[in-house]
Amino acid sequence: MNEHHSSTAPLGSSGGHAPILDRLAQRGLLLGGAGLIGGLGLGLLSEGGFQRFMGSYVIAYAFVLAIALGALGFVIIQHLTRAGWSVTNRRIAELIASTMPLLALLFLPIVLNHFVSAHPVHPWANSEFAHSDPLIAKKASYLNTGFFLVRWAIYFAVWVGLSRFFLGTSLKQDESGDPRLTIKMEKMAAPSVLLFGLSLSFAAFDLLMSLDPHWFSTIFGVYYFAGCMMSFFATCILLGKWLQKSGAIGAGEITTEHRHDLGKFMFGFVVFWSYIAFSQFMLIWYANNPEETGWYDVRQNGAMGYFSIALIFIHFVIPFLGLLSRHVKRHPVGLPFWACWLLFAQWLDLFFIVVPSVQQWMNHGHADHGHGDAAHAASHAADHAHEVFPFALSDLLTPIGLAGLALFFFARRARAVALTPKLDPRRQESLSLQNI
Amino acid sequence: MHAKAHSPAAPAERARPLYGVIAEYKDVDSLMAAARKVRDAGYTRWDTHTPFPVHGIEGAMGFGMTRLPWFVLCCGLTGLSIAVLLQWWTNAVDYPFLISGKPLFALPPAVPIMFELTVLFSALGTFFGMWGLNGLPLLHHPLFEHEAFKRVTDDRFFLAIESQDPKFGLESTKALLASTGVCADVVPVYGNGDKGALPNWMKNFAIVMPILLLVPLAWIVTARHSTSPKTRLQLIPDMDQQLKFRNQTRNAFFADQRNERPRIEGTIPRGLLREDQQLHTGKTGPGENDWATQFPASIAVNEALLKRGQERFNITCAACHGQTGVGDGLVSQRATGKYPSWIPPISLHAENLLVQPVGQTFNTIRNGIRTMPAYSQQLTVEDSWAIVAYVKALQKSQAFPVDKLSPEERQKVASVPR
Repeated sequence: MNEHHSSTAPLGSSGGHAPILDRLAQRGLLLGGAGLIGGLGLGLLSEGGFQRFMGSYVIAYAFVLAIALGALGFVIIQHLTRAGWSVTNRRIAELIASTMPLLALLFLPIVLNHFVSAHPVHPWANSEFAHSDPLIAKKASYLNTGFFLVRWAIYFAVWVGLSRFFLGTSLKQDESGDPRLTIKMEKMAAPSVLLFGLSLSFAAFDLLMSLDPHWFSTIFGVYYFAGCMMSFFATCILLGKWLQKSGAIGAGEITTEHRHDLGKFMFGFVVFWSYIAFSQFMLIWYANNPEETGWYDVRQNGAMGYFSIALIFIHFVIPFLGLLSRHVKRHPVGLPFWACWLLFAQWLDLFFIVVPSVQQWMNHGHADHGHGDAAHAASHAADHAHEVFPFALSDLLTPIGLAGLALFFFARRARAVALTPKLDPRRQESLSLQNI
Repeated sequence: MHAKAHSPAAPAERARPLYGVIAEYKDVDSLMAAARKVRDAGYTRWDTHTPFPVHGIEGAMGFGMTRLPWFVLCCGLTGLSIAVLLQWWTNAVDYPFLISGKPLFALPPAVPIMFELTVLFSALGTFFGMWGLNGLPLLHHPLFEHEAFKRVTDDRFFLAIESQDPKFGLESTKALLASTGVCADVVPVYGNGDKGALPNWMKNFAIVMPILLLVPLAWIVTARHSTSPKTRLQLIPDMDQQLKFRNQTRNAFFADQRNERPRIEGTIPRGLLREDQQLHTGKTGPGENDWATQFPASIAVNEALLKRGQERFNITCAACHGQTGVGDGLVSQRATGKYPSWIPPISLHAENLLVQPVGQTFNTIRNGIRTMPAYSQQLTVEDSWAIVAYVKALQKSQAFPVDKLSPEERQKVASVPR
């Protein structure tokens, strides 16, 4: 039914692509090392010192985690919907998701920070302080380091388990071609999507929302999810493009049609992010409750105010208009350009979430005014933060560092396996994908 | 139809205008191959017909891009602009109405409508734009005259080239199509001039209906700009005319026909007995300045009364007077900068108020003073006395010498954030 039967397209050139991925791994390691060392060095030199660096680290961590979670969600949804179009792109997603063990390892600095530092990046992790602040004290049964650890152990059990299951089963099918494995993955996808959704939502609360433990937003998990999917699609487009260009993936295996569809999804999640971000904002704006507006207050005023306006344009208006046309989504340069743009936008969004809260709570331990006066001190810190734009170079370098490490991990994992599922029963359907 | 009846019609059929030629195929692949061939031969006015959407057919037919997206973009932007204008005009210009201190026009609450109208206009634009570009609605098509064409909804694929095509030649085009993988003879198709024209009733309907739709509108416009002595249309009469007497209306039951009954002399309505003058007016005599200097006998001044007074004060009075009574309430703070005519409340710790008799304070609460309105509708007599007691306590607290405080109390005062 398709115009050019692509059944002659080469099957995954297994083995032949190892040197290419070794090159990728090398670059990733280089990037990772340079980024991390630079980020840590500059972070320590900056005004906030180590505490400020931990803010950068949370940005970086949330950035890389978002891509891996987006990939895992994508794989699950493809199986859940029995999608045929995406089969040749699915391996890339499976491999990105399988960086989860590395992410578990990279989470340790945050845990360590909770235990060692007197001013941990999550202010509630200092239990003495948490109990001195009446608003946090009420939440202490959830926001405490012990329970936090238990929750993250569960999240990683879910994420590592699911990513291993889907990659492992898919690799098994590469050898046997058994269509029953596809059915097995489809059956597993239904409970997986529940686990995935819940764990992602709570992880977003724990990692990002609780940076300002006074504030709460029930939609926050969905907000992070939107960023996860968008940054995953951007990464998938870029990695697919690079791997194909360097010859690791055959010319007919990922086509303009696939990239068009990935582009549509990426565009869709640009809009979805805006929809969710606005839904969160509008309800808080309308209700005008001090306990909720505080979060926007530090982001709307002073130097951050311009940044927040810029975020609307960089994360929504400009890419919305840029990606609207189908010609752009099918363009060999246009689409990767917008993928890069949106990865940058995702970084901006995380900066927007993390830094003002870190600045605001930076001095929470120094609140010597006694009992119950912590919020007061925090607002003083916020007043100070208004004067200068709170950017530190480590906010940019640390994400590059962690992304480099993740790239290294991805490449090491990918060098030994086929980069597209070789014997998936829907492979042919995927190869002959046509957009109207 | 019988064969005999059919044959005399044959010459007439030839007199009908030639629509084009049609070729029939058994499967998608043959159709695709044929389409590519016709495309490459340079034909422009032709179409393929299939039982289901065939992916890739537009490539095989050499379709250019549709103009529809630009049309949809314009519709979307129109919807967006209308949403902004509509909300700005109605909320901020035509009928400004302050709701819980929100700006008359602000973007956050306007965005959902902007979003919805953009989507609505885009969707309508797509739908009707598609109809327009495709020349729909089409009630009849010449190809329906071709008997075998009925299978296009079932299991056959067709390719028809119109005679209007500049490259069209009856024999040459037939030969071209015959050289593709057809499964039946390539035949010419003749149109049927009468069929496909819009029936008269539809034309009439299309003219009359919009005019009829204008009638209710015209009715409304007329009603807006005219007066009438008639009772208005009552859709639910028993709701408009309920079995009860309204204020200021006639009541035939009474001799004077007054609906509101005057008090009967020498009686007091239930619950309106005002025996204790001091309790209800704050005065002890008939004179203008006979203010009570003591609380009435029925009001016991104790801690419970002060607590009640504090609570009522913080609810009713603090909005303007501020919780400490210095006149820095949130309403006053906001109004001071905003409205030049606003007169801020005086401090409750002013000299003359410190020595004011409790009865006079009570009177001020009940009946208001200068720009302060009366609060007798919001507060019971007892609560008003409770507030008086609390205000007196508040005044004392602000003038209390520090050295008379106990160390614990001093500590407590010092820890209050300023």
